[in-house]
Amino acid sequence: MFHKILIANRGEIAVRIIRACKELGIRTVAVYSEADRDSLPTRLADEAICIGPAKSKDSYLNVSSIISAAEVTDAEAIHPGYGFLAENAEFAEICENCGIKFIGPSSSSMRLMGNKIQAKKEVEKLRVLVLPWSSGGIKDEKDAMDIARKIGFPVIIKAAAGGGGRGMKLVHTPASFGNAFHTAKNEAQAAFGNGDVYIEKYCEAPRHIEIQIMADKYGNIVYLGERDCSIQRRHQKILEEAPSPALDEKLRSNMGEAAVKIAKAIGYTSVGTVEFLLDKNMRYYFMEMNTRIQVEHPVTEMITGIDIVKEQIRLAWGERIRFKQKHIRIRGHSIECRINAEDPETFIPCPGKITSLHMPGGPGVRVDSAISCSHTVPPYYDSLLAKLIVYGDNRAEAINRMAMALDEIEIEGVKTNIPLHRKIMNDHDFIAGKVDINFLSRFA
Amino acid sequence: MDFKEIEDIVKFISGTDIVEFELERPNGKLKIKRGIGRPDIVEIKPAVAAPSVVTASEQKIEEQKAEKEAAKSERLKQITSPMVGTFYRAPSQDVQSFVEVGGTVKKGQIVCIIEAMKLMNEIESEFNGKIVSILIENGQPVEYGEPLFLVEIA
Repeated sequence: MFHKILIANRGEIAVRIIRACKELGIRTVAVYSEADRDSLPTRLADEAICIGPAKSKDSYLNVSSIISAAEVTDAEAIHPGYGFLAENAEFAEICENCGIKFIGPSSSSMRLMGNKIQAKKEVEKLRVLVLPWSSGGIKDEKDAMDIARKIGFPVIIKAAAGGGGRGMKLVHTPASFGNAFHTAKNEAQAAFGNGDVYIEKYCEAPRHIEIQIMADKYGNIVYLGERDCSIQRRHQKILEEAPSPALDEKLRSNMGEAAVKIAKAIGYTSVGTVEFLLDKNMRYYFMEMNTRIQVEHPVTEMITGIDIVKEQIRLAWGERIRFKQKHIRIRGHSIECRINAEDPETFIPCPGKITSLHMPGGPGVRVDSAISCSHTVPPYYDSLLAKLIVYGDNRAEAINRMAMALDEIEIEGVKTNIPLHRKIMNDHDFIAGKVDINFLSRFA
Repeated sequence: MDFKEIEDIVKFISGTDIVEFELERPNGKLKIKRGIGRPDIVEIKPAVAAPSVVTASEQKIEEQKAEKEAAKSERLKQITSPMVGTFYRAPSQDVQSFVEVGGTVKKGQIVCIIEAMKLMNEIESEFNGKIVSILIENGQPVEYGEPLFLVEIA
């Protein structure tokens, strides 16, 4: 097993990874920017190294700083967490070249799935459904318009190098198409350094269903059930649950097997998530594959009893998956609420100093967080304060437990979206399991 | 406790495994906390002097002395590491170090090498002055922002 792992991340996921390493008897190195000095990960890790000033590009995205830190501490492996360098194929390749194990898939898998156009083409070959699309990137406006008409409005223009809900433009009518097309290309170029876009049919009121998969280097791949992440604001997830109230056993195994088929075809190793949209007719369409551990992994852990981060580290070491598909049982129901430092109505991020803090607890209540009292939430990174996760024997119990936990939780000094989550727990449609990706926009 | 004494102590500590060091004297208390991979914390607490009758001329001398000390500490600057890597005092083994304690240094002059990912990065002084203290041992790892040298600026 690895002796020492460097965690190239911050906040709650850094804490999560450090905990998994400790359980496996692996020494940990936390890297931190000047804004994260004295943060929880730096206190929990065995060693901590300052890698740069506050700005992400000078610290958590600073490849040479992070590789240097791994070298001076003799870390054998780097865990990238999520975000930052987690899906940066160049970084994975540099690690490979420096003899440092990157805890994740190969750089070639990351490259393939990181290009959304290439990914769709690969998946189409496998006869997994994708939404009607441009079958490739589009360079000029005239082609784009023709394709859009063929597909049928409304359509979405998406960046090939995008993902995670970024770089998408919805176009309802031909009249607004031209403008949207040019804006989309410019924004894609600015945000991802790649102006390639493709067009996809807009699916009305779908659910976002994603399948967690795990693959070793011996060709064994399993799926750990699905997560329903339909509750999103501007394509950012705020609440996730597992299993999905919309799926029955048959659909679960069909989607799971489709996800495994995709992973197998591209020779994928490590953990990953295959995202689908499920339309009103219960047809599922491949959207993208995330080649990293995801924020919402805890809900899958709660219903399967499998520690995904520990397994990910074992897989990186070269171990075989320790269970077969038939051994993976889904039990009970889990919900996760992302507690963000933001105004509950305007959603504007509100960094600041936490003056009072109480986290809920008790049976079936889990909190993944890196904040503490008198901690100052820095303005340079995302606004996630904590992930509040519950488990119940069934969905009703999980909802009830989450409502109690949201009642108990106290975070003062910064504004949070706790009031929004309380509203969702009390919402009639949510309780009935009637959600789709437009849920939150109908909500306010 | 004068500055030379503090400097000697800091230098001495740097060369050992000591993690925490505290020294109390009638004229003040010195506390040093070294972190492996973390910046050292040096706390200096002057003793709270008992009130005493001070004549006008004595007071003037005290003020002048305090001004001199303050000016001296203002003239002390740190050269900090701009990166993570390994600190080397000389361009290669068996070659003379770039600088020594007591030596003068000019702005832009190379003071050390920080090696990262097999690349030797020459680190330049931002100040003109005199090297008062070398805070890191040859071959030690350093992090971003870690103080390397104390320079008394001219």
